[in-house]
Amino acid sequence: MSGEINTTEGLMDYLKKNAQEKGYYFNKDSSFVNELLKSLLINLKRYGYASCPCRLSTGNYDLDSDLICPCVYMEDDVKKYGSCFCTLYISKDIFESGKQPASIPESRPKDKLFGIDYNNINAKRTSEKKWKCEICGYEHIGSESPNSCPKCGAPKEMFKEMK
Amino acid sequence: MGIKYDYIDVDLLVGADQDKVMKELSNVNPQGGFPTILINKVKTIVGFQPDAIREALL
Repeated sequence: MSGEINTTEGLMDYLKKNAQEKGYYFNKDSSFVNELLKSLLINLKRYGYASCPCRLSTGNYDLDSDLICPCVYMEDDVKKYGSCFCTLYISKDIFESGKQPASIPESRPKDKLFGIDYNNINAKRTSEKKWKCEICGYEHIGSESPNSCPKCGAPKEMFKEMK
Repeated sequence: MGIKYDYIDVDLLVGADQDKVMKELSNVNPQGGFPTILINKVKTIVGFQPDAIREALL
């Protein structure tokens, strides 16, 4: 992704171009699509990648990389169920019929479902750092502070590591 | 519709607070996914399904 994608319009252009190249169809409900894009943009700013807003991201790229929109499950889900998990992407048939896509089962493997493995949660958490936004108090867990604060928009430098 | 509701932004919770809510969520929605809506403590609807939500509230 280029550095220019920092607005919902920019993100939409990027995803639309990709969709055109690959023959994907977007949900016809433009206000719904817009809300999804806003959420994707929040994730992009928060984590540095536009991970699926319909699942929980961890902020760890290796754990979340399968969820970067369009996620790795999208194509198969559209083929099998007529839409992706979020219903952002839909099949040609659904697009042409104008039907509202229904919720579909989760195709992400079970051990990744909640982003983290609860059995190993303490091991994982102690290896990660805790950061606090000096402006608004927002707390973030991860190896690095976020690029900007998802709550108040303060830059990366305003995060201090909590001990 | 005048329906009372409460919500939690799970992605904005940190550490143990998030773990606690995710455990609760997995009880009503074992496959995960957002938004998860719990209606009258019994009916779970995952995703944006306006028709299903309306129907469940009637």
